Amino acid sequence: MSRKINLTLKVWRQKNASSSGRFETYEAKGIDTDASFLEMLDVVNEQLEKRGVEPIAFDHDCREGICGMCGAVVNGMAHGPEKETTLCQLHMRKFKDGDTITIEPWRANGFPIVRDLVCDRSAFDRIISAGGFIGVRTGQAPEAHSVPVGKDKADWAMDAAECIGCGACVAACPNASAMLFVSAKVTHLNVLPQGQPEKNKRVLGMVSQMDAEGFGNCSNHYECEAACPKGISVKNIAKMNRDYLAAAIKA
Amino acid sequence: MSSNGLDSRVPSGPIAEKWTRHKFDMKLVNPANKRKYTIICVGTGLAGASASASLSELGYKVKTFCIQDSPRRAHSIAAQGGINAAKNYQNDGDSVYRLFYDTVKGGDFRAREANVYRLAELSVNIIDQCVAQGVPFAREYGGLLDNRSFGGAQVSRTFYARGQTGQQLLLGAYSALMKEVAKKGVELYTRREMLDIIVIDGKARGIVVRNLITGKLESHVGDAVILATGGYGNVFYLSTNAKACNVTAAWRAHKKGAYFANPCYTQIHPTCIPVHGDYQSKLTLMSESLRNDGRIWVPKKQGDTRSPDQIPDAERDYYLERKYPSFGNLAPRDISSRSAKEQCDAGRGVGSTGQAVYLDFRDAINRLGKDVIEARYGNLFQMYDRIVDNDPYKVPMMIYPAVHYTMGGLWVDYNLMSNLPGLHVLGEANFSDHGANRLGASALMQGLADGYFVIPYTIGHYLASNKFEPIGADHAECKNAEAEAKKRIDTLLSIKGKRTVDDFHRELGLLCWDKCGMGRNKAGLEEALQKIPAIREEFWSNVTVVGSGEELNQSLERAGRVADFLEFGELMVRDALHREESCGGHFREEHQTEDGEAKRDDANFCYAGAWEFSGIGSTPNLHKEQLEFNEVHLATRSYK
Amino acid sequence: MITKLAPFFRSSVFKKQLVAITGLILVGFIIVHLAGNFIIFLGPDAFNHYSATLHAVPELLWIARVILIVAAIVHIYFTIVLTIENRKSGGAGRYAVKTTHGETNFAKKFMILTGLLLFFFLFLHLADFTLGEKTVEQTTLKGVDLGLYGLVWNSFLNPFRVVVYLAAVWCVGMHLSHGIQSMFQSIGFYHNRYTPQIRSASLVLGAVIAAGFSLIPVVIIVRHLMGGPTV
Ligand SMILES: Cc1cc2nc3c(=O)[nH]c(=O)nc-3n(C[C@H](O)[C@H](O)[C@H](O)COP(=O)(O)OP(=O)(O)OC[C@H]3O[C@@H](n4cnc5c(N)ncnc54)[C@H](O)[C@@H]3O)c2cc1C
Ligand code: HEM
Ligand code: HEM
Ligand code: SF4
Ligand code: F3S
Ligand code: FES
Repeated sequence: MSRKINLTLKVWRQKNASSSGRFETYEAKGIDTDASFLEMLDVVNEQLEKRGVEPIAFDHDCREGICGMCGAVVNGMAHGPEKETTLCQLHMRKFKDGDTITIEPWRANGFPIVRDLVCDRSAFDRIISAGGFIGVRTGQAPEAHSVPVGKDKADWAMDAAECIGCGACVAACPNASAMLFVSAKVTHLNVLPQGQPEKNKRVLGMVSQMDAEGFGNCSNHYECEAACPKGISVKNIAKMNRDYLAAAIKA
Repeated sequence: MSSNGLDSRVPSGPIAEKWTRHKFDMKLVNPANKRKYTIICVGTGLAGASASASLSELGYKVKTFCIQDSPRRAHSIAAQGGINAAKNYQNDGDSVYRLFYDTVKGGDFRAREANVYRLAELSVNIIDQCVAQGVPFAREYGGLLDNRSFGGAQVSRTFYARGQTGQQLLLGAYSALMKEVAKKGVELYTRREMLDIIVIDGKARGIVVRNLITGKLESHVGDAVILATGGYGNVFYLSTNAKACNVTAAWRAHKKGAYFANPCYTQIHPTCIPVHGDYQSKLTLMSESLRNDGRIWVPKKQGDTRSPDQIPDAERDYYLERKYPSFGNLAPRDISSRSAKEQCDAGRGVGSTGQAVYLDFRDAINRLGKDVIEARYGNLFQMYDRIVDNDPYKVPMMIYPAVHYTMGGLWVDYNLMSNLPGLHVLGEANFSDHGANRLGASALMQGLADGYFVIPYTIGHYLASNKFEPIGADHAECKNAEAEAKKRIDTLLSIKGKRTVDDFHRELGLLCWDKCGMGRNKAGLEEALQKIPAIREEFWSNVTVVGSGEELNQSLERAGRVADFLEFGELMVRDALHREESCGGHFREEHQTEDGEAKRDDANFCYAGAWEFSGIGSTPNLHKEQLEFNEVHLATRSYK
Repeated sequence: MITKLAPFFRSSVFKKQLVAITGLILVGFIIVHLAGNFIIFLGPDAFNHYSATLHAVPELLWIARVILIVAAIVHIYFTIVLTIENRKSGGAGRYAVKTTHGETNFAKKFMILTGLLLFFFLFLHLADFTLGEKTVEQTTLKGVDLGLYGLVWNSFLNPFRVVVYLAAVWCVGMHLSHGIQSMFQSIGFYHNRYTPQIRSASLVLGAVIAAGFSLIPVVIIVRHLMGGPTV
């Protein structure tokens, strides 16, 4: 059953990439526990706007946990405290009346802050450009059934492909490393028969772009896996490491 | 084939050969010349991403734009259920012809036959293409592709990737796009919102966009423009669409001369999570695939407040199975949605608001076991539980219809070009293939068919058939369009009223839902037609948008979109008012059979209605494209 | 060749793999070293014989030492490089509310610290038993020259040294509790069933190795208090 709760929000406000930010405190009163976290921010924003205060900028689009656009660090945790849940799918019933909630953007050198809770994740796109695809041109494809894919491989590829590119793994990693994201894409394509011809090129290219973007290195903390809203496994990091070593040896 | 000057340019010949012949008849651009052409593509959903990638592969220079921070986040990502293709892998009698037939019938005979046939024909290539890209479709133990069935079809032809088909297809198209970005064939512009279209010498030559981070207005010019900007379902405020879905791109093109066809054709999806509070910002779809195993029912008694497990079978009304025995729970969307409304209007709805029906998996779990159901729908069940805080393995889900898809859109000919030369419209943004109702799993198919396999041919024909004066982004038309966009932004910022943008949006949305939603009637539509201009007027005098135009300003972005919805909503209502018949998603209460089924009027309304803009507040001109049905004969749709 | 390989040495993944491979060599040494040290419990003869055997073929010993030294240098160099890079990535400790999703732990966070402490410990340790001049005074126990055995025994009669050694071996234990499973992950070994086992084994092994090494000074002190070895 839904209830109404009152909260205190400490929100990171930063005007743009070059200005320095600080925390502002806002009262969020009468929040319905059935509301999502973003709906709670909507309510707060409407109140701010009515007072002539600039609303809190935050990224979002689908609001159903699939586009990967939303995300903030809530009380120190990327996407908040609930396991395998994006911020848009986190509901206020997970909080208690009177709670203070601290909300910050993803912080990492690879993700410069754009404004308030919004950061720039275009590094991920550049990493995909560096090899996160199968180089087939439109019209070149053979009949879909000409290459059967064992269910185990298909399932693994799908598990890895579930990554929504939200960046929570980077936000949660003590090293701000993008290994989980990168490995999810490498694995998705490298386990499939269709991905074999470009397997080595892919892993080398994507890792080198990842490094160039200023993300940290992985020291196997596994925080990323725990924060990932899609439960992407660090098994993929191991697979990428293995593919990388194999590619390096062959090179 | 044409009326009032609307030439659909459908090629002659037997339906099965039209596309093949047309491909041969169209002019080609020779490979060396392709790179001399620049194509502007707005949108990176299935339609836009696949088009951009394919055109770049051919050698054209492509500039691609989207609102989100990454092309991968376009709204297509949210599609859950699947994509149709006439592969007949199940050996259950599917064929290109049957898919074509189902789609025309499903669209309630308001789609253009030739387009639908081409769509069915290309569906098989789409699956091949996506598999080659590494899209991890569900497979059987033998390693071959699995299928499921979807509403409105009696064969199993839907390919899927768990409950994330749209995501996987989009990631496939996105990866193809990013491959071309790396090769510098595509220049990618993210966090850009298109605010106007640039028309020079009667041809669409470019766009004006706002850089959403810096607020700067930029003009981009080329030789042809593609809009793949999705649907306008958010005119209803609450819908299953992503928050950034808008009508702005299409509407601004409309104001520059492109006709808007059938805006009243909106699809209400039967299986969504019911509305639960006024803070609610969007509705969540539960994939239609759930209807494969879930049974829909309401208590037979009005106002029955017992918990569902206390209601014995004899006191439940499985109304879809009862009314439509051959399709049962898989009846098409418009029919399922309306039936749910009927039950709730009759006081048999469930849940705290009485605006919900049960979708029950009890029998399927007993028959197949929880594991099987979990493997099929695990993520959907989890999503439901998270939102509603109820475990659907134990308690039946509660569902209610919600706005989901818009069949109407910019009018296009067989080549997917609008009446404005050079302006091509793909995917949900055009009106072409679904008539008055879209079958499940057909939107993804259409977006990809348009982008991968149609536009690469037809745009070449347009480019080869026309001469283009070289122009730059400093052309007077660009400057004019930029100035106009700037003026609009400045106005929005200067009003400094009392009501928020969302407040207006909610008001408009509720009005549209009440008067132009699942059921429509003359009085209601006329009332809406009175009220919308009034809301619009208040908006332009009492909206508040805090902040400036030279920075990331999300309220300003929304304000611009809502302003367009306020103009567009009027057209949608007007279209619904003029169409004095019921067809597909457009149900005019005055036009129904005795048992409450939609009654079409083929004698008077067998046309696509394309509206021409004639100024805000002034009555637009209607152009009719008469529809001919030579293959699938006009008949009353029956799913009994 | 060098230019072809250069990109790999700049890659985060490959650097990490060098750390893992050298870590594996070091772990191998540690385990053998622990086993060797346990011979001390068999008495002076056995232990001195073991030491003599090690030194019997100097070439072999030196090959082993070179491998070890190279491994240690590579290990240390790259761990320092990685750590510096990680500090620059905008990572650690950057949020106002400091918490985790429950995976990271003390051992993981302080790898560089435990590693560096070990590095300093090594100087002391080599000075103690390997490089230092072994005077008869130091090797003699109860008037009998017991060689290396006597040296080790006498060394641990100094409480300061015992404390340092205990600290060091618990650093080793902590380092390895994360290090061992991490090594598998870094070189790409992951198995749905075995990996969880490897992760727990890593924790256990870290503790066992630390406890094993600790046993030596502890047993020596206890036996000293009980009257010393029977010579
Ligand atoms: C919840 C849900 C589930 C669905 N499930 C299915 C399904 O199972 N099967 C099926 O076939 N269909 C399904 N559909 C329908 C289908 O997903 C959409 O119709 C289809 O994806 C639309 O694709 P598109 O490429 O036309 O547009 P979109 O994916 O909507 O992309 C629009 C693009 O245009 C850009 N854009 C929009 N406006 C502007 C502007 N002004 N300036 C710049 N860029 C702009 C956006 O940034 C975006 O990149 C579903 C829809 C929803 C809402
Ligand atoms: C209680 C703990 C320890 C004891 C009693 C001990 C004892 C010894 C002894 C007796 C030697 C000399 C062997 C010989 O010359 O034959 C030695 C050498 C050595 N020890 Fe230890 N050790 C301990 C812990 C450690 C630890 C924790 C490390 C590493 C981190 C270590 C690294 C070494 C090295 C590198 C050598 C030199 C081997 C060589 O000669 O090449 N020791 N140790
Ligand atoms: C002497 C100085 C040492 C330093 C400074 C040091 C430092 C480190 C650091 C910082 C790491 C983590 C690297 C990362 O994950 O990014 C690490 C990993 C590791 N270390 Fe050490 N270490 C030292 C000695 C040792 C010794 C003596 C051993 C073996 C007994 C050892 C075994 C390992 C292992 C197995 C790993 C895991 C490798 C991996 O994660 O792949 N280290 N070391
Ligand atoms: S791996 Fe998980 S946390 Fe990282 S981007 Fe993908 S979905 Fe987000
Ligand atoms: S948390 Fe960071 S250290 Fe590696 S295992 Fe995950 S990327
Ligand atoms: S808004 Fe799309 S994942 Fe949260």
